[in-house]
Amino acid sequence: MKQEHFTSRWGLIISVVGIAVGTGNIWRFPRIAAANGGGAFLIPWVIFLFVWSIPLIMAEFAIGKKARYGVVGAFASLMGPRFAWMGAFVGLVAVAIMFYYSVVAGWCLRYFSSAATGQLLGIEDHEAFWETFIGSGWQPVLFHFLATTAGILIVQRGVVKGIEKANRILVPTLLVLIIVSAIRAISLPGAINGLNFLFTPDFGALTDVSLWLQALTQNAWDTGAGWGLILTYAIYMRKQEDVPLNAAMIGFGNNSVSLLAAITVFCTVFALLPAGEAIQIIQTPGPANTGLTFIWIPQLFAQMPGGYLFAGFFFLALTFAALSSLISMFELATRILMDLKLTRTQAIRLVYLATLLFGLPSALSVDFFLNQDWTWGVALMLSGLFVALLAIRFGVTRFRQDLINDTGDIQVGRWYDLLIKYAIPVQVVVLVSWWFSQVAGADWWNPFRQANIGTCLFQWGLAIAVLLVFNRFLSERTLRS
Amino acid sequence: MSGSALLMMIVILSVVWGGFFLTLATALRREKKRQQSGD
Repeated sequence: MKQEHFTSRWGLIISVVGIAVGTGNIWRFPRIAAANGGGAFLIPWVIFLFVWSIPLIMAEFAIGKKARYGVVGAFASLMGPRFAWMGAFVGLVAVAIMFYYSVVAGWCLRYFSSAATGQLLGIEDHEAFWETFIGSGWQPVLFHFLATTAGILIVQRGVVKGIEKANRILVPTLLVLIIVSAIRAISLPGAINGLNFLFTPDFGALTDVSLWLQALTQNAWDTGAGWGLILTYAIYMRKQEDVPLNAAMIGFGNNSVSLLAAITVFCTVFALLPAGEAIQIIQTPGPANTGLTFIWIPQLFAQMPGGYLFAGFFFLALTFAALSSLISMFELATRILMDLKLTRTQAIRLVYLATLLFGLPSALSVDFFLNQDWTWGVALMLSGLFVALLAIRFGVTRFRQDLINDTGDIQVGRWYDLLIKYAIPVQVVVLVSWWFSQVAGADWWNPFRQANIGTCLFQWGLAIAVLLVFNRFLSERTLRS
Repeated sequence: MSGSALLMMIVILSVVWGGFFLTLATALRREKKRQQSGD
């Protein structure tokens, strides 16, 4: 198999920024920041960038660059064939997310098309519009098909002509759209109140444990660290490519976009509504956590001069953010199948059909979508743990010296060993325990509830059992030359 | 804008955006050096 490589450092960085910047930055971050005290939330959010996101992004770069395999082969080759199942679990979590993320990309596409045609701002009852759209059955399915097809058409062209080329268009356009939107929002009369709320620190709130855990969760979910996606793109890094500096740039770049999105949303909402109402609206999750993005933002755009253009910009940025992340999930799945000796064309056809098919339940049922979002969202913590365990088994110091510092523009010190060895595992245990404690009700064990402990343990357990059964097949077939 | 909000905004933006531009500038410098040395 001829190995492709990103044509330059910038091709790689732009593509990885495309992974990291997704709907979580634009859609989730402003809501979570508002619900957790605004300014106070930003302090732990920045701290966890250094103790979760950047160390794991570095680890993923180092693993992919060294192993030159997708997640299954990378774990089997660097950790030992007995651990192929761990890599497969990391891959399975990303693939399970891919199945419903394509539905989310479809929602963004639907709203962009409505904004572009001018239909969106003419709607009187946006909640009814959302409910009609999501309940129609055929519409979410149609847009799920369109988003999936668009992503697959990019990935099937390969790494350079497909992924890199698309990201060279999608990511800079997305950044320009977000910057223009932020400037427009800041220039609205009264926008200063939004900045005040976003940045006023309530230091007393820092004693609240849930604030820290929400900040860690946001870092775990929106930087793409520990998902296996960056590991997959790192397969296509050139040998002399740096790890630490690229990882830091991507972490900072991702969080910079989150801040721009929050500034846009806070300034817009506070400029158009009285302060009390504005805070309430930003914090409201709404149906399927869509409240702010799909229900309120269109209403606010309708009230402002040039709102038609602004709405088009906002939903185009959201669609591009979703698409650039979705194609990395397609590549992750494709690469695993290619390592299992399928041709790229065969692998992509399989990924396309599987996404169309297994995305259907989430497109047709918000309850199913929320179940999957909960189950595999929490499982991402385990993925992060497995990446750290790979480095620990490899020997953390050797991992740092041989795989991270080998060609680095900057050298990483011993602090990295401590973060991977102790900080990441502790964060995973605390975070998973905390999330489980949030949903520990009377029927916590019931695997058929939407978001509880039982459904996680059942689905994770089933996945791990199946992967353990096929462990030998996966490792032997993947590592066979 | 209140003083504490302004201070917080400066600190957060300095760390996050400053971190981004600093790493970007370093990478640009290294790439230029690499190209000059024909590496």
